[in-house]
Amino acid sequence: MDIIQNLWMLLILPLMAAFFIFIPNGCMSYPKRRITLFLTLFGTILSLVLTSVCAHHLMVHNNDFFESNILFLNAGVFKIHLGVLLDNVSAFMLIILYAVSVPVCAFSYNYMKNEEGFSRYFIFLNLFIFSMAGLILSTNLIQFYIFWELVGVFSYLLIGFYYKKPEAERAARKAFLINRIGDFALFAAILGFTYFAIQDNESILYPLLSLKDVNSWGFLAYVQLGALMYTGICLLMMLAACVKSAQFPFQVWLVEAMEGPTPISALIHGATMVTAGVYLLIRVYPALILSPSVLKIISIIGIITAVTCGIIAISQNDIKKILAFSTSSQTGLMMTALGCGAYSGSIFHLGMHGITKAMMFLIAGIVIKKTLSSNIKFLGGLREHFPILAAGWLLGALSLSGFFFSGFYSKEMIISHLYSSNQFLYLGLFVFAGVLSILYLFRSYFLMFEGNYKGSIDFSKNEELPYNGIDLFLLIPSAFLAFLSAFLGGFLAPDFQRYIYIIRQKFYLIRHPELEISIFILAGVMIYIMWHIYGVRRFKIKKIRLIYRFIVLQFFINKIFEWLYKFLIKGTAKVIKAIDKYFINGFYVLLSQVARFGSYLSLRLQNGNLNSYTFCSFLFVTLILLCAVMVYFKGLSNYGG
Amino acid sequence: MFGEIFSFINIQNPANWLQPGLCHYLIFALFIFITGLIITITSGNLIRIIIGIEFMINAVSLNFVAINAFVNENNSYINSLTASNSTIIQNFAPVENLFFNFSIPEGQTLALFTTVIGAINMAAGLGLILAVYFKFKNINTNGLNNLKSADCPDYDDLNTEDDI
Repeated sequence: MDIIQNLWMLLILPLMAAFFIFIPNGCMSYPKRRITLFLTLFGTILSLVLTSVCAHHLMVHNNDFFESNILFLNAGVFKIHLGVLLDNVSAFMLIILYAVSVPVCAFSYNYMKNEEGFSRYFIFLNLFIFSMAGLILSTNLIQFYIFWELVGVFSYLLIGFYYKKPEAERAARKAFLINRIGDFALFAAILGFTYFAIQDNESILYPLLSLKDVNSWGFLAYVQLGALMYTGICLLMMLAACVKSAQFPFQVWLVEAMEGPTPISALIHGATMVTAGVYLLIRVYPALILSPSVLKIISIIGIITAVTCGIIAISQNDIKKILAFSTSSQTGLMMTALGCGAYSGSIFHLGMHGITKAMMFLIAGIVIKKTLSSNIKFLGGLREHFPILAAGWLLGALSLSGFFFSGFYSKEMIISHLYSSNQFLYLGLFVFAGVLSILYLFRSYFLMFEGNYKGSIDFSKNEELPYNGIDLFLLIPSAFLAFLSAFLGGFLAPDFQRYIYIIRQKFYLIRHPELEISIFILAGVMIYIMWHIYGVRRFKIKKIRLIYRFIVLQFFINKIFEWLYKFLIKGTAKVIKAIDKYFINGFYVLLSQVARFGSYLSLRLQNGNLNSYTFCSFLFVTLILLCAVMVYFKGLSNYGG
Repeated sequence: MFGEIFSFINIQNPANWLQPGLCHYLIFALFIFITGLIITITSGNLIRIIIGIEFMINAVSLNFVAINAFVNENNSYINSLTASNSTIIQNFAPVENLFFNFSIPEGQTLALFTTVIGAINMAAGLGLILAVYFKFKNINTNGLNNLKSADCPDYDDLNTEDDI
């Protein structure tokens, strides 16, 4: 099949799946669960296969790119195209997207089996996959923006899936409103670029702000290094990426978004949506290079996020919240890598982190389903009851902390680049963030899987059941992701920097054995310490006020956002309501008052007073006669008197 | 536009009407008319209204007769006064052709008719007054406000005890 048709199929398949799920489920009285599952899985597995075909095709054709556009809106110089673009980065992102979507869809079938909104969930899931695919495959920044907003919309719908719970509704609204800030920033940045691009007059030939080859944006040649307006535009773009990827002040939406179902957290907030911000920066990277201050700010914000969220994650007690903070922390590391120049390392880490985090979310989902509690203080000793889950969690923890498996390769790429380019501050903070990730991940592992079970559920029946009573539909997706997480890194790492060639990388993968060994030793020491604190309970940690203060820091951000919401959004709404009521509506009130005044004046004549009637009749007859007389004399003077 | 409309005021050669003698009569009739008008409009008493109407009718009759005296040339005694430097005897001399020294005096006949009409008017008016008296037992105009609209604004400075 033609490669372009492949690409369009990739884009349209989830959309069609959603549509075809809607038809039977919307028309009939009981949900067709098996049809839904079949359609979803068919769509996503076929997409995965097609993506692999496309990636293979790319490698065969020496990393050329394929593009296909539809002219959507034509207004002379300003045209909007919608299309599909396949190049190395988008192929890689698509593989990650579908590699995570297929297990998530299979997992969701069992997880959401007894839920009320089963078909609604799957429709939204498919539509979300469609919009993410559209984002990845977008040919120009305007289409990118369209799908960026769509992703936000579907994430809102999915976070607020349990809309009857007030916390879920609040969290969904918060996520959407905070993402609106990013949308606004991205739109402003696009307007800025469009302003330049239209002056350059080259957009007649291909799509406006084409992402195919950002190096070839003509107006970039006229930008001086670090020009103020250009830096402003790039800052806006950075803001959009930070909001979407839950960087430092904006990580609150991701934390609250854990109110949604767990597979959604796996897909959206582990693997796809939070990487949309990093993907944006990856796409416009050649344009961002022209303002080096923005790159510095990106890496600063990234490393601040990584450290802060890592510290907060240590103090959390809810599994999903730990994973949420971990996500924003790792995304911060990706941003840092991007800002420091480790371009391909950032993309690679994006992929590996996505797979691993999705796997951990799925395992957390299984744990929550089995133990009916998501607070790790009430868990423990699950290694005896569910050894498979323990193995998976351990694998994920090791991978995420950059110790073994695929996380090691991705982190090593970034660390090597940082070491080679002599950015030791970032290197140190990066390693510190890695240490923090070890701390919170292994704290969660030891508290959940070691020790004694502190809950009240009886697991003795589970030991006779195969796989300890975990349903296959829940287990196989997690196992698939665990397999990928373990081996994909080592498989892809050696050729990766040659594969992703968008800009000339300064430092190719230079292995620094001394660095790696020292990090290994540090990590081993931290794990041992964690084991002693939480596993064996040899040292007790006193609850220091310091820890609570970090939680309160999180709360302060929440308070700031609540105040902003109340003051800006509700305040604006009140102002606009007042304008509408008194000014716009007041115009019509004015008209009616004019009519009322006229009637008032006229009614004064109808007072039943005989004298008044007499006078008025005389007056008006006189006036009419006067008019007649005037007309007569005018006529006289016309014809000579 | 307004110069043309009001240019009759400044006409140089005297027209057939509005001569210097005539306007005295007309102004006098105007005064009487205005008096009648004011009596009609500002009275709270029905009979007084009819008196005012009579004033106006008589003023109009005066107007007709005055115009007739100056406008009609065949019968214009007053016209003939200005024509020549004649003596008083000649002014009082009869016209030579006794058969044709008349014309239809339009103004005077109209004044006669007007008087009759005035009498009829008064009769009708008195009939109305009787009806009003039988209903209201007084002849004030204050009670005759059945045509007042419901939303008419009331004023506190209405003088309801005037002209009883």
